[in-house]
Amino acid sequence: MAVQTRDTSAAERSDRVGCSSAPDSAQAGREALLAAANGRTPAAGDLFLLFASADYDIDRLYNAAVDAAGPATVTGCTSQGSFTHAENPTSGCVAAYVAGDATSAGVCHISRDSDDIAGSARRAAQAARERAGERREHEALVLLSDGLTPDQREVARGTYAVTGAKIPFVGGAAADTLQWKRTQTFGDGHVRSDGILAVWLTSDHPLAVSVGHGWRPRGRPMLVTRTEGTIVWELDGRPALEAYLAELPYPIESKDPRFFLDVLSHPVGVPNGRGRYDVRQLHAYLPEGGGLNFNTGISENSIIQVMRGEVDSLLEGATEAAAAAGSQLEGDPQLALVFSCGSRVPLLGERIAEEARAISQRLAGAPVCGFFTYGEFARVDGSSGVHNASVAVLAL
Amino acid sequence: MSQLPDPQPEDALARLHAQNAALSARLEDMEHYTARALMRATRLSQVIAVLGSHDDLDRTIDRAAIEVAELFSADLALLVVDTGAGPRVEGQWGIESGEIPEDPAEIVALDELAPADPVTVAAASSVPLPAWLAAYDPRHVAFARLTVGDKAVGLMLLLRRAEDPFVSEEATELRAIAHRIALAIENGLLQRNMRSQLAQLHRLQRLTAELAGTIQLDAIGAMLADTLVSEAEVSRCVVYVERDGSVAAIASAGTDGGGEPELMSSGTRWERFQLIVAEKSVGYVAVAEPPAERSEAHEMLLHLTGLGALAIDKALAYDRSVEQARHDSLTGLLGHRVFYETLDALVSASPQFSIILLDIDDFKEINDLQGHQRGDEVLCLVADAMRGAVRTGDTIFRIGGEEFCSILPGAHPDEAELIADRLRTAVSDVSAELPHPITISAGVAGFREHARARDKLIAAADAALYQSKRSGKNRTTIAGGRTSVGVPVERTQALELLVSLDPEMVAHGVHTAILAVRIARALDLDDERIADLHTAAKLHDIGKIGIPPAILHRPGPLDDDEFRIVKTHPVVGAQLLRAWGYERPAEFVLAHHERIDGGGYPSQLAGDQIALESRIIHAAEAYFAMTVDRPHQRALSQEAALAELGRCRGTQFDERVVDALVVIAHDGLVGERRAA
Repeated sequence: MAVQTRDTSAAERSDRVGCSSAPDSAQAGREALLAAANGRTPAAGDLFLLFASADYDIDRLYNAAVDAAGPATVTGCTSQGSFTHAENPTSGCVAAYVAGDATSAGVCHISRDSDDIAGSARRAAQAARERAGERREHEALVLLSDGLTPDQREVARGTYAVTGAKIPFVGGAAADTLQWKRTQTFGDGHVRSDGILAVWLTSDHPLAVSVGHGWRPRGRPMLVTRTEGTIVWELDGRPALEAYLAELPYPIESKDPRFFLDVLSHPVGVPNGRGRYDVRQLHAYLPEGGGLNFNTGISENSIIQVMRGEVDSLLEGATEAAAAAGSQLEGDPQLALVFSCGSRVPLLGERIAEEARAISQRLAGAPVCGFFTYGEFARVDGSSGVHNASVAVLAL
Repeated sequence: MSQLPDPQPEDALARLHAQNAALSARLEDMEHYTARALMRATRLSQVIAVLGSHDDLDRTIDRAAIEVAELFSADLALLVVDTGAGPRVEGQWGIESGEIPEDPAEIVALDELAPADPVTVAAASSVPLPAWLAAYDPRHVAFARLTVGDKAVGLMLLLRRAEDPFVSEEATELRAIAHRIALAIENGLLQRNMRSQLAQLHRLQRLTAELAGTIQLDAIGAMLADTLVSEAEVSRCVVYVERDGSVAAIASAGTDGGGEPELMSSGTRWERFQLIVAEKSVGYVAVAEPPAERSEAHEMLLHLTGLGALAIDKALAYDRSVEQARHDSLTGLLGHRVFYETLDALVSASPQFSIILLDIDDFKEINDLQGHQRGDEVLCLVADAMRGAVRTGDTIFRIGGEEFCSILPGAHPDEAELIADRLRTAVSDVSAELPHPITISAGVAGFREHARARDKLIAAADAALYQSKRSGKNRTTIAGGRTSVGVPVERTQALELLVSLDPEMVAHGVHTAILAVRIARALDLDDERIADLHTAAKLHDIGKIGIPPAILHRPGPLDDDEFRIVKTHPVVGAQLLRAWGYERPAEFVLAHHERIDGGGYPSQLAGDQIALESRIIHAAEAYFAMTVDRPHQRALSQEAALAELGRCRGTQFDERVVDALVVIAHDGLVGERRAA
């Protein structure tokens, strides 16, 4: 089948994203959405994705966005920070607009069952697929979850049970401002703090998903000798925290004020069968017992290594992700949704805005809209679909 | 000497960049290689850890598929396992929900597609994958047989969509992993079977306990039927019980109703399994499509039918004991416990009803003088008589040694009195031919009329019964009032005792009385006259106890003096009867040898001077005298005797009496000829 290309001007493409730094929650939601619409009257079948600072009153923000969207669908989540290719508001709201003429969306937003996270994700994905209506040639699932979900790997596994190997999924875990207290997802008429939100996209045009990170292995390989869910208790038979700290390039005490920042700078990587590393970010440690809590399950008897990265390598990783997405398309993408790990923010520092720009440039100037997450989802092939300290891209 | 030109710094820098890039690339390649190596070093142990972390077989297989797929960067993974019901996809990863074929044949085909080698890796294009897998556009495929020793457990299939072939080292790993998975599956199946058997044992244990504690036949049947369906792989069954010579269905399972004939006609194969206890059949179970013989399910079926037979037998025994407890074992009537239960229920419901208390008169004398066996016979006789005389809906109970009670729903006391008299008449009738006729006294009380509580009602009827006894027995008294007249029947047991000294005389008297009563009924005499007639007829020769035995039993004809002595017996008999208070019977006995033509004795009465009762006795006695062999005279035939009576009709014997006797004789109602 001949791939459809779209002759769309850069100007037209650029106006599919919007941003607002308004302090008022309702205003921020409304402004960001209308900016993304850019004068268009939202119609039934259109989709708006909003990523907002966790400081906002999300109920007001969401309701205002829904009012402004009219018959169009509104979904989104809170973030550690959000961005477009042009703007990186410190505390604001961004929005992306997906026209409903060539792309249909089905949304399902449920509260997770903590005893059956995979099952919850499966149900959400299943319902979103059914609500998307008639299936078109190209499909992808956008997945947003509560950033404090006990095991994001179960979210991915449940989702994969529905999407299967043919349909990629991409997304991120909602975040707050590094407080780790409450994150929120919104859509399908609800604002939830324990939500799993699935947006099933079915389109006449290709949808490309990719992921990259830019981290390289640094420390010695360590064998995970004891785990319990998402907590690694022992590495090479030693308390995990002790073993991990020993692999850092410089001594760090867990009580050191810089400890958290240093941890963000040194995630661990789990080698996969492709010769790559799936990155896992440490979220917490348990002083009693020296356990390390990643918000994703790590299998016993697996190998982990402390990773290293620099600004340039991280940016390169983002660019590679964009390139991988672009290579799946035959024409220029209209929009790129980007889910970048919040742990990359302190590392990228002042160059944080370069990431979104680099992605946009690599995608022929496509507008970029995204947020900094507490974890990323991206599965095209081979991997488990859960990532940390990475950049996941959906180009459409 | 010439000098080489100085290298340009730009070129050196470029070379350095190139070298740096090459080194970076090599470093990256080494990192990739190392990552793969690290992964391969631990893949097997990771899978083993996953396999050992779940007890449930389904969970184990499901997780195994996911873990292997992730560890080998496979986009799709299938675990096809044969758990005893043919190859099925028990674990999968990457197949969109609803796309695994439901047709088992497709899964079998997949199993057959795989090479026989333990592990095979290949380009997907070289393998004719089924359409539902080919739709995923895989590039590379790996097959791994799941075997434990020589036993095939299933198949593992991995597919990659990326251009990333499975290398030989991965194939080696997959072989080891497949073996571990097969072991885990095999162990899981064993555990599952053990759990299933244990659960089944628990269910059987529970069933046994429930059956042991149940005596309700319907409940036992239902439990048996349901368990056969659930445990013995039977689709339908019906439980039949043999009781009192008939067979009836008591429970079924898996059916929508209908008996065995209807079910048998459905085309399904049915088989019967007898329910046997100690070589005795208590019923059978009809099952549809029974399991194959010697199969576990068949053994279970036999075990369950054995259990069911025992429980059913016990329930039947219980029912019988209950029934027996409810009934008097001698007479078969309902017993006093049921009497009180029935009465309580009626009093509670408070409808109109009456009770009759009945008591056999002088029963103690019967037991004392004739023995307890005779007494039991009398009780049975009375019970049978009354049983046949009550209305439909009335009930007779034996509530004491010789005490009975009848409960009459809907009856007022007046109606109950009539029924009481009917019961007494029935008893009298059946005992009329006995040497010692039986009478009963009755007391009647009506609920509401005489009492509104059970005990008071019984007391009222008992008081009435007592009144009947005091009034002379053989009568009915309504509580607080009227006493009916006794049924005419001989109540001369004391006299009969005298008569019993001469058995022949007793027999002659009994037969004469029977025939006399029949003649009297034919002539429409009322009950009171018949009663007196009966007494007189039975004792008409009692006066002969004063005749010397030498004369009485002379074999030859009597001379005049002897005959004169014999002719005193009517007078002596009358005197005796008068002495006992039987005035009217005495008159009849006195005149029982008078003739119509006045040629009789002792008073030469004639015609109507002679009481009809005497004329009846005269004819009846003569008939029996002619039809019995005597020392000096052979018995005449019935026809000859009747002819003789006819010859003397109007002279010796009353014409009407003779005519009635002839009719009775021809109806076969005269007793058989007896030898002397």
